[in-house]
Amino acid sequence: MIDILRIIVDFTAFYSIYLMLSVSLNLEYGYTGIPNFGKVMFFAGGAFTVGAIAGRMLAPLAGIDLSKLDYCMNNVYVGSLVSRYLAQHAGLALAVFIALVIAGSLVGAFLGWLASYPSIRLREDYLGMTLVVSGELLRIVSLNYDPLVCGTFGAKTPNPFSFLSGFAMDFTRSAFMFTIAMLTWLIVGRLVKSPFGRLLKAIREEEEAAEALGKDVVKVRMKVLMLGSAIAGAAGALYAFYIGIVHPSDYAPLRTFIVWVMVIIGGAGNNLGAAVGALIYLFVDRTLAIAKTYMPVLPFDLNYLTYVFLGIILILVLIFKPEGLIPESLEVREEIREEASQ
Amino acid sequence: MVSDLRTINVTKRFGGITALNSVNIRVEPDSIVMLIGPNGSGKTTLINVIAGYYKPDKGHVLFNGFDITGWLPHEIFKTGIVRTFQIPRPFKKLSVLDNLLLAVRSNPGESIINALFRAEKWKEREREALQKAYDVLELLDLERVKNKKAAELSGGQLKLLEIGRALMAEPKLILMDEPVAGVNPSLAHEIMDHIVSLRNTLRLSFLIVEHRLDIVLDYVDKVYAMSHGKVISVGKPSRVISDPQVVEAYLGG
Repeated sequence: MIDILRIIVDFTAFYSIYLMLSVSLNLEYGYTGIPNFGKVMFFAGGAFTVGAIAGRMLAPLAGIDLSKLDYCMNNVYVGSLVSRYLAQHAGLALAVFIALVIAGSLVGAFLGWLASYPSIRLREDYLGMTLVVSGELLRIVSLNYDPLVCGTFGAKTPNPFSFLSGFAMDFTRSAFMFTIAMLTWLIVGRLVKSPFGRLLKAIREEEEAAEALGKDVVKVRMKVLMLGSAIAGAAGALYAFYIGIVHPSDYAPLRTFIVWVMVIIGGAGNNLGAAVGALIYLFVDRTLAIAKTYMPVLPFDLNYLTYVFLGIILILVLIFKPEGLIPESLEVREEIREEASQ
Repeated sequence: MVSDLRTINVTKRFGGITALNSVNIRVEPDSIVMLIGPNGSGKTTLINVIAGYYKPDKGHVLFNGFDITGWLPHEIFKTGIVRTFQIPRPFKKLSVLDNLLLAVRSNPGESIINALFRAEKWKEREREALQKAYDVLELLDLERVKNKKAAELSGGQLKLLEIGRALMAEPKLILMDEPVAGVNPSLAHEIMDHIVSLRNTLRLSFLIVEHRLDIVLDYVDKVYAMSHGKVISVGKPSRVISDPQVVEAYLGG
């Protein structure tokens, strides 16, 4: 019984992270038409923020003098001492957790601004390429520059939920993550139903016509990329806390494309579609991961089948429902019209 | 609403081709001015320069005394100049109603903060806009299709939607690129009647590029004829179309 609960709790944690990523890409690509092929960069930005700051910031509190100790060589040790310290200070631990998630999203937003600044004026295809490259750039720099997340060692992240233990800890952590993800989903949902959402779709459909009607297209795109990247940054911070270590090679371009698959399967330009797409991906991924533990030894790693299954699903969706499982809906503005006629 | 547009010696080159060669035109307050000329004579280029889509190589565009040369399209929109496109550019996946509502000037709901936290602020604006949109829909005979995707409209209806969006934007001057091409004659006359009444009641001005001289000519105050990037004739409609140079440009190329 506890096994199934554990599986659900673990699933929820991962779902929260991927929900945020797919919602943010859907905002950028599905609604605004920005081909963000660099999603992983902003995700990494949030994760690296946690990896770079959490251990170093809390070490002195846990009684460790970092001037006498090479942080990177000893970061697993430091991390576990910090976790032990945090176990005694639940309030501080949660405050650190929330603060670093916010910091991660701010770093994401900053990277979004930075990436958009030279490139957002580019045409779609060039913008996409620039973003892929920027994403790789961050990964390669962090792999070779120890002061960030200890390069090839990776940086251990302290566990802010260590004041609990066992299932209670996993459950609480997942509950926190899911709450943050749902809030994001609801906020984006509200945003895209407003005149702002209408503006985004208009920019996606006909940029020049939107300009002729006084819309500052470049500025709106920048705002969207910053907002989307802030969400991705927060997701990255959650991920860093959840898996307990930040390693640069974990942030390869493949992650970006998995999120793309979610959005395309679920339905670009539909907030619910983004949630469904993330659910389908995670269902395939986790089912295989669980199956693996029950399988006899196979001559290959079952996890790789995820890509095969996802590929099949993607092809089927593109053939039979090219606009995704839950396609973009036509806004009829019935509600406001009724109010207007009263 | 005052609107006074002038171009002074506007020149625009594309590579070796001079699309506009020292063009001077003026759209006086409360007037309907028409721009005619054979294909490729530079009419649409002039509209694009005025609306900020092209930067002129030389010359100036003045609107109500401001030098708006080289301003970006959305900045020019703020001065009260709104353009329509020759080939309609609807927001295809939005409803016809949304196409119109989008054109509303400075909608508070188009800021992220207001959209999320100050619904009362933009809903009020949205209601006003909706009333206005219904008037525009009625005027352009688009009521039946208001909740359809713009992509589902016919060519003529898309032309009307272009005009509708411009009207929603509280303009002072509308630059219209072939507003009645592809529209049936009776509706075309209605549109032109309406343009005249907008001029008379709201004191809007119009600069209209159009080939359908038979329909439009009766409604306009002044005509500029262009050929090879130059203004070759200007004046009252009857005078311009009987100008031998204009006749030659149209017939003799």
